Amino acid sequence: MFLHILKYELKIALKNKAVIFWLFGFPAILGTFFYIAFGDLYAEEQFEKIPVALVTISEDRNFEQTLDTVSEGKDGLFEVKRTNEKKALELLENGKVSGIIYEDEEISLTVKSEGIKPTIIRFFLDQYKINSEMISQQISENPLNIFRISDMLRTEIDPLIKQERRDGNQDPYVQYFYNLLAMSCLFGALGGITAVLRSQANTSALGARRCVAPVSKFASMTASLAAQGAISFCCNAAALLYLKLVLGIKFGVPLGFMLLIILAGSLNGLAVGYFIGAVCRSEGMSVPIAVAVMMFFCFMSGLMIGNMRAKVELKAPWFNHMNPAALISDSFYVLNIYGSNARFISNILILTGMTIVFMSAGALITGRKKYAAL
Amino acid sequence: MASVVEIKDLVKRYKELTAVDGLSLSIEEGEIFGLLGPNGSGKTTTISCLLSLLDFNEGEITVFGEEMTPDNYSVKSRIGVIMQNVAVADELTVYENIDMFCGMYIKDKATRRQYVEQAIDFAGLRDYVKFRPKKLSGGLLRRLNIACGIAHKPKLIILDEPTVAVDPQSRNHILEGIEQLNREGATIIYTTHYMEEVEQICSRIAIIDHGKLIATGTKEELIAMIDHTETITAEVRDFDEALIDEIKALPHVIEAKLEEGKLTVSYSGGKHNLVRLVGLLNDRSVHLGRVYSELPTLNDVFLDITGRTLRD
Repeated sequence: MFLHILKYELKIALKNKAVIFWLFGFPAILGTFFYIAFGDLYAEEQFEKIPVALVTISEDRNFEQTLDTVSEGKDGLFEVKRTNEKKALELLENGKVSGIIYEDEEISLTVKSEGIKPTIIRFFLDQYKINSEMISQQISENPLNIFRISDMLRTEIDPLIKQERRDGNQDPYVQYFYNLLAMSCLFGALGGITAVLRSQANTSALGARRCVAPVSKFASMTASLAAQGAISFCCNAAALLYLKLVLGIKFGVPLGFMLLIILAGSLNGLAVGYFIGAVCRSEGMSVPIAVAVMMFFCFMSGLMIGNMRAKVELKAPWFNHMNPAALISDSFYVLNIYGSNARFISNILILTGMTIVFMSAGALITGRKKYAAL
Repeated sequence: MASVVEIKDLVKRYKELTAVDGLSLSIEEGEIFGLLGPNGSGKTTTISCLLSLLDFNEGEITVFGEEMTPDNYSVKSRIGVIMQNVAVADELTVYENIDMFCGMYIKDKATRRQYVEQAIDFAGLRDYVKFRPKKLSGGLLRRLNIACGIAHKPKLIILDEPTVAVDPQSRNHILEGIEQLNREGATIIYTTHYMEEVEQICSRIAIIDHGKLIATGTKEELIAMIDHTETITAEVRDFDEALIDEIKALPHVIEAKLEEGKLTVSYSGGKHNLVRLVGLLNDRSVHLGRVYSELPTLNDVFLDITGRTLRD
């Protein structure tokens, strides 16, 4: 009986174009846009140092040190020309530099036109300002915070300063693809919602018909969830393969580990959707709530703003350990930068634990065999 | 005959609303049992309690002599349900839908295949087996809904308003199909607010209103419960209202009234009532339009007992 229901649930799920779109099409399309947007940066072999002029009005040793560090070696980010303002403006006008950095009490930037190079300079300066402010604030609150900050900054700065620890991809923009895959995994929530709505007598006519059949509710629900979980995992894996094989994104993580993370993430999305569907009991409510929750998780993990996860780590580190999107993308990151370690295992265990909790809570709510109202 | 369904003193409350109020029914094997009542009278709630989908506050329900519970798979396997709302998967074809639901009852693949083919023929869906539900008309969709509910050859078939929003051709097909299923040995419970359907196919009828059983019996038994046996309606012109008293004085007349040019006269028994009435109107030089006689219906029974019509 389980296999019979599973077979048809798989057929139904495969023919559900909306689910396939959100789980495969959307991440593939968004990934393609990311690829186009970051394309120049992404092709490491084509990367050239960005020429910048540095005009010192009031010396900031920390800033200069940071700028020198990221500009070191042939793989450095910038080619810094220290000069006065007049000469700097001349260089900018002639296109010899992409921007002028003014080193004063406030670090500021002047560019001639917008483009990818000025954007990188601005991104670097913003990162520096945010991090230096956070460090000052945290250390003033508690000097021991320096250890936590150091760990957090490694996430942000390691790729920038290109300290190659292993064969991973040091490109900071790969984080966006990690977050994209995390979002795609969490969209598995739609499958969880579908599984609930199709199986409950108080949520759909189809559910009522299934409830009057001589089939154990556990078998029926498990088959639905298994089918939705399988489809979610396959779609996410297909999206990953598209990004890796077609677009050539270098994730820096062995494929087997990536699939493991995607499996854990897909099941987590499924479980969260199952729980939301069980509580809300209608598609009209469940889907918007699930999408809002997932997008919030993704936002907090840095899908829209690159260093969001680091900011959260400073303000509310517990949230990163409860945010499935952050756990998924951090798992990719950890494997890329450090290889498998305790943090990766911890991330996967927390994800799995959350999956079990949400599945159990959903099962408790949907486990009732009779309803008070239909 | 053995009782297939026994409902005793069923009470179902939704907070302060009592949807089913002390309802008792006994449905015998081989019957087409009609559950008739206006919208909101408690028919679907009763069926949901019977199917063990809904919790109820008081009462007992037995089906095939066993207490009906959600885990009583032996009883459930002998029941076929056709819900009020079409319950099929939009992503599957007609064949796949029927096979999916039939497979929840019948494990043997060869038997199942045979049953599915029979259900397709029964519902007249042979030409549409590869269609998805969205491609079907409303009537065909209802037929698919029925095929999904009866493919496993249940002994008890419950149909909850299966003809809502269905064209006349499909409605006839459905009603004939129900009679055929009954001839093949299935006991049928048929809920509707269309009294014509109940009159056409049901061997016994229960009329419910506000969750209470207000009458039960065969159509003839129910009609015998009310006083009037015939209603004559005549479209009239040049009618002197003083004539109403003369009409009321005719033999067997229990009520006469004139509304918007229509004279309606109700009788309690008697013969040749039409001849006598037309004779009197001719004598009084009343110009007559259409004149017709109607026998009492279940709606009259409902009206007589509740003061409202089934459509109110």
